[in-house]
Amino acid sequence: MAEQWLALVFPALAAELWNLDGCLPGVWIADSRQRVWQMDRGAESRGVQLGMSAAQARALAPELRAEQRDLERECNLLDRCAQILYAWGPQVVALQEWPHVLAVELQGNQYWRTAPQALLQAIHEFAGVHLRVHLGLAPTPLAAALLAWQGENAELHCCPAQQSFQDCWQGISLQFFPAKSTLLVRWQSLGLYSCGDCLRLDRRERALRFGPEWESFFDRLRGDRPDPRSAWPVQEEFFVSFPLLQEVSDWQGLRFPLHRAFQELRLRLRQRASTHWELLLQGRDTQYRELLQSRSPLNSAELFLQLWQERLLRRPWNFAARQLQLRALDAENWAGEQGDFWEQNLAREQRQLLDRWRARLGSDSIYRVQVRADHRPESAWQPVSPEAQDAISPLDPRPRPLWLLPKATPVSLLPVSASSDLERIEGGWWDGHDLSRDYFRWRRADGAQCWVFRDRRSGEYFLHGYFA
Amino acid sequence: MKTAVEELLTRHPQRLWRAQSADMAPKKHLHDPGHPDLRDLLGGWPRGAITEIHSQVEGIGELRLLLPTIAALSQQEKRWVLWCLPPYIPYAPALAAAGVRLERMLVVHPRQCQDQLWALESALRSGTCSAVLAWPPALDEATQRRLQLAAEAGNSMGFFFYQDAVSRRSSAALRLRVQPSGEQTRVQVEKRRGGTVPAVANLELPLAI
Repeated sequence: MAEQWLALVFPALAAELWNLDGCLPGVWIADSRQRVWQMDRGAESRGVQLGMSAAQARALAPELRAEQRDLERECNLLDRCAQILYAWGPQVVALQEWPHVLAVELQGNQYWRTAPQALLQAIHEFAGVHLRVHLGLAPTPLAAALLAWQGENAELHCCPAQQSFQDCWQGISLQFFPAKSTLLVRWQSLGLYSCGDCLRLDRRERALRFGPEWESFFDRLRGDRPDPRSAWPVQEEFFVSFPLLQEVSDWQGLRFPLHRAFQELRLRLRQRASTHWELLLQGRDTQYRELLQSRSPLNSAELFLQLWQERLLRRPWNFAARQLQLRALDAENWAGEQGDFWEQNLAREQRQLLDRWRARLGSDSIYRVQVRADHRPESAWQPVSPEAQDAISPLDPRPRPLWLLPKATPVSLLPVSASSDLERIEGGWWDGHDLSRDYFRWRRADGAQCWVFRDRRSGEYFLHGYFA
Repeated sequence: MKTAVEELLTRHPQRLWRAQSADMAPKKHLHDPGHPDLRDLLGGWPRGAITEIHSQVEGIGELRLLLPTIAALSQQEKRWVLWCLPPYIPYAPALAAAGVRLERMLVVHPRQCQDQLWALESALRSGTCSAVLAWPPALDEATQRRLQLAAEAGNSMGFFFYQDAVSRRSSAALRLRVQPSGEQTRVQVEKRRGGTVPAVANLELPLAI
C-alpha cells in the first residue's frame, strides 16, 4: 500500500500569529527588501497585496500593524501543531523548502482511514478562525504540500479518486514550487505551467537549463527517490507553552489563552485524560505556579475553565504574565464517561460540585466525619476525605451529644447536682493522650443541655459538648 | 370552569398560594419530621424551600428537631446532607447512633462570608444535596430570595440556624423559634406558608434515638 502524507501549509503564519485572538484590524510583515511578504485576512481586505512596498502598505491602511518576524513564536506554533499531529501519525516532518509547512505520515493509522474527519476537525480546532491552513493529501510529502498550496481554502486537497497519482502529479502547478522568482518567471515564459509540461523536456537538457537539484526534487515529488527527513522532536510530556499575545494580569485576560491551551492539550491527549493540571505563568522576572486537581478526568472545557476560575479568583497572581504553560500531570487512558441513568448523573454532578468547592475553598475545607473505634470522645471521630471508604465501627449505645467542642472549655461555676449518671472514661496511655474523666449531662441555667466532665486528676470541670 | 387565578394556583402550587389557605402546600411537598407532635404542628418540613430555626441559646434541641429527618434522608436518598460552617463538630458517634449514614454527610467550612454564600447557593441549586444545614450570617432580603430560589431549583431542604432574640423579616417558607421549657423544647411557628395563626408546641426530644 502506498504511503499517505497529509501536509499542512500555513500560508501566512508569520503574520497571523500576531492576531490569533482577532483583536487587531490586520497585520502584515515585510521582507528584507521592505516588500510585503505575508499578511493576514484583515490586511488583505484593506487592499494590501503581496510584494507591495512597505511604504505603500502603510499609506494604504495606516491602522494595520506592521510586525517583524518572530522566529521563536513561529517555531512554537509549529511545534504545538506538530505535537497534535503526533497523536495521529508516527512521523511528523517540517518541509524546509517552504517556511511553514508540516507533514504527517498517516499510512498506518486505521482511525484515519475510517474517520478522517476527526483529524481534520482537530486541525481546524487548533487553527481556529484566524490562522489559515491548507491541507493536501498525497503519497509523498512534497506532492501533498504542493496540492495543499494549490488549494484556495481549508478543505482537504488530494488527487481525484478517478485519477492515478501518475496523472495527478503531472497536473501540479509550478507556481508554488519553492524556486526563486526568476526561475518561476522563466518557466512561465517558456510555457511551462505544470510538472507534466516540465517533465516532457529531456532530462539532461532540463538539468542543464534549470539546475540539477530540480531533477532530485521531481524524483522525490513522484516518489521515485527516497525523501528522508528528520522527524520533528516529540515531547515526552503533555504540556503546552506559548507566549501571550498581550500581557495578562487578571482572569478575564487569561481565559482565552487558557481555553486555547486546554483545547490543544485535549487534541493531543485524544483517548487520554488527566485529573492533575499545573499552570505556570511567567512574568518579566517572576513566575506563578498553581495546581488543580479534579476527582474525575477533565474533558469538558467549560468545567475546566470554571474550576480554574474558582481557583485563580481566590489565589490571583499579581504581575503581568507574558508566557503561559499548561501541563497535564497524570495523563492516562480514558474511555470516556458513560451513563444516562439518574444515579450516575447524580454521582457525576456530585463529583463536579466537589471539584468546584475544592478549587475555590481548598481541599481541607471539605470533609466527612467518621466514627473511630475509640472510647475517648476526642478520638471517637475523625475527619476524612469525602471519597474515603467507611470502616464499620460498633455503635456506642450510650447517649452522646450532637455537638462536640473542638477543645473542652473550663466551666467555673457548676451546680453540684448532675442530671444524669456519671460515665467514667479512662485510658490512652498507649498514645500519650492518657485521660481520666467523669462525664455527665448538665442542664445549664439558660436551658442548654451540656456534656460536661470532671478531670479526675485536676478536679476541674470542662464543657465538652451540647445535646443540641 | 376554572378562573385564570385558579388555573395558575393549580399549575404552580409551590410558587403561588392563597395566604388564607391552610392546605396550600400539598403533602407531597412536605417531608415527615419524624416527631408526632411536630407533625401535628407543622405537617412536615417544606421541600425545596428554606426553613429558619431561631434560638437564643444553642444546645436546647435545635438539632434534635431535625435528626429523624436527616437520618431518613441519608438512608433514602443518595444525595448529600450538607453541613455548611457548623459552629462545632458534628459528632459522628451520636449521628451514627441516630441512624445517619455518615458517608452521605458532608461538612464544608468556607473561610469568608462570600464563600459561604457561594457554597450555600451552589449546594442548594445543584440538586446534589437533599438537605443543607447552615449557620449563615444575617442575610439581606435579596440574598434570602436568591437562596430560596436555589433551594427550589435543586429541590433541597435548607435549614438555616440563627442565634438571636428577635427574628427579622425573611422570605423563608417556615420560621420556627426554639426555646427551652423545663426538660422539653418549646417550638413556636412564627411564619408558615398558608398558616396565619401562630402555633406552639412543647416537644419531648430524646437525647438519643
